Amino acid sequence: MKKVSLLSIFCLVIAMSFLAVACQPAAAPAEEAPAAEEAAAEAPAEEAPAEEAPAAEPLTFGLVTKALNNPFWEMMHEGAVKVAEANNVEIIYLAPTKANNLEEQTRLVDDLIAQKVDGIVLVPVDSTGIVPAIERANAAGIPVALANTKATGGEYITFSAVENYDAMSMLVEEAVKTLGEKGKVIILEGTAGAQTAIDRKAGVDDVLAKYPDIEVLASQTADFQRAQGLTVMENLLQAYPEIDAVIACNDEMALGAVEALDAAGRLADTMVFGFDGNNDALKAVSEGRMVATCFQNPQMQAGDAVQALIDYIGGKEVAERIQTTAILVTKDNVAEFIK
Amino acid sequence: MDQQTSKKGEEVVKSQSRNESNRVWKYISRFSRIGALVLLGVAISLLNPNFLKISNIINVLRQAAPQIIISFGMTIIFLTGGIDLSLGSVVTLTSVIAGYFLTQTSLPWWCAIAGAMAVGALSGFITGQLIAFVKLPPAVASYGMLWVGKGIAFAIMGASPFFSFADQFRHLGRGYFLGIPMPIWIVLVIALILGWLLKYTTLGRSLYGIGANPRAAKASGIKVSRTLVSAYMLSGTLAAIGGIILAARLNAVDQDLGASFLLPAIASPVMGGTSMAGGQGGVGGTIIGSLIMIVVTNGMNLLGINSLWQQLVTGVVVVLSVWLDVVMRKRN
Repeated sequence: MKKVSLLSIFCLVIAMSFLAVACQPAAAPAEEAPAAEEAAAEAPAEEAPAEEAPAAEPLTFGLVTKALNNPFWEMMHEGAVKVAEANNVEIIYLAPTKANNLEEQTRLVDDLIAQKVDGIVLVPVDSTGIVPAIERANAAGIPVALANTKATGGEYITFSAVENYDAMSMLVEEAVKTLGEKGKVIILEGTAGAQTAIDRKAGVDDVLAKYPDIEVLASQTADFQRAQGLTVMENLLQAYPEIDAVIACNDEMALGAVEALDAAGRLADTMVFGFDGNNDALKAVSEGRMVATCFQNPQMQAGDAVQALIDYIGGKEVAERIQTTAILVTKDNVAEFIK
Repeated sequence: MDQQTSKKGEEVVKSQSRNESNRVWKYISRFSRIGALVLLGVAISLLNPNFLKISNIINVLRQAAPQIIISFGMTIIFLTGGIDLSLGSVVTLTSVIAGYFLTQTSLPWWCAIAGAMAVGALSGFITGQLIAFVKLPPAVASYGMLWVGKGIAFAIMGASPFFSFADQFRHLGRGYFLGIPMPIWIVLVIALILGWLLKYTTLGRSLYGIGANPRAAKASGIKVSRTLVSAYMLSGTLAAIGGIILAARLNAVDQDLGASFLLPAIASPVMGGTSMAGGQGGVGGTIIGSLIMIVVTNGMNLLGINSLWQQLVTGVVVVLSVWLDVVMRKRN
């Protein structure tokens, strides 16, 4: 099965690319096509849009995340599919091929509206920028459930997420405790201006403000990317001979920082904290290369959103805000999370 | 100009002195890029003395290595008057191939390098064929290859990145030889080879010839198609080497690894004086162009500039340095 789908993705991508090459002015639409085809091939929903018997037809939901390259979104996909399968719902999974690209994400949502799906689970790349797309879904009468990241407008039936601010505060409290309430700290921020980055940064700032003996040496963005985490950390290592802890606003950046510290022979002196609970980071926690991360429970976030859509369509009451429980992962409990 | 002056004997002297001053200007403009880099360095080091520490200079050079090598590939393509939009995705694809070999097979580590470079050359070969024989515009052919490369990388890896590579492989990214990091050695060796290739070989001269005037090049017996295919193969291979160094430095690969290198790879040669119209430029300028960009990021991190301003600063520096180059050239 896996082989077949890999092959079909491969063929589709090649076909689409040549198509894009063949008709030159089609450069822009071609950009979204491979993503859509790919995701459609990935989701077991090939026959769904063509079916016509309305009574017996299973529901089809679209799931749109922020990127294909971060395993975190893949976990969300898994969680959504799990709940969907149990309820005989098909999931069409889409995500921008360029990570965190709002314009591409907007087009993916429009695609789903055009396909007349029964509901959309959406993880906005940008809380404000996504609003017009949500409004178009509202106009088409398609219910939208948000997961992980909030939107500032449009109508959505629920918002299922960990409160980034609270979870980050929890992680930073743990960091402060491990440091013994004093020390020199570096903060790696997420993508400048992104809502998740703003909320997490606020969580960090508010907790650290309570502890006057914690000195923030630097707070710099590494764009939620591992490669950036590496270079930014390398640069900061040059400026600060003594760093007690690095608090990164996601695991990818934390792991980049771990590489930089390791290469400089300073990993033993510096504690690294991440956020998300990616497999790679869980492994780092279990090996002692990272001290802690915060498991956001992405499966539950997406699963709850799918369940809310099913309930909503079934005429049941749906809570406006579904709180996902974030779990602090340290060496003590990491074994429970590693698959 | 020359004809005119030769008609009037008295002007000969004048024109000689003008030639003299032209030569001086040429020299200055040649070093204006280095000047811009030095100026930037002085400014940053005045604000933060850590910048000039040997360890930081080595750090900057090591960080710059992948971008310089990928930009070399773009430089070669620019010389022919083309553009290779697939370079970023070839970086991703080749690093994913390397990661696949290293983590999913039990083959020795050097197979990962050979495999990645072979795939890089192959993708360049296909792009080159599309341009030279199918006669697609370079931007379109390489744009198609961008998506093919991305798609294959996705298909191989899925969403979970490959990580934890063999130590011998990682040595290429974080090891040292004679006290100097491996990536810097690799850049040096490649720069010397390319410098020689562009200046002293038929292939090198053909690249400039095609870029300056394709028809004249053909008339003078240059095998245009073959040269173009070679150029794209070369740039694909260079992208692969960049991808290998990145993967070795990061000890992991993900599907967005290369995408962020495309635009810097376009900007670096231009900042270094290579003309996008073809026929003019070289590898030396590309190194300077890349270094300016990397130094800006390094400086901003050292100075602790607010994240929200960093992109703006990068943009201003890129535009200023190209503008400086244009001004210097006009004076010639």
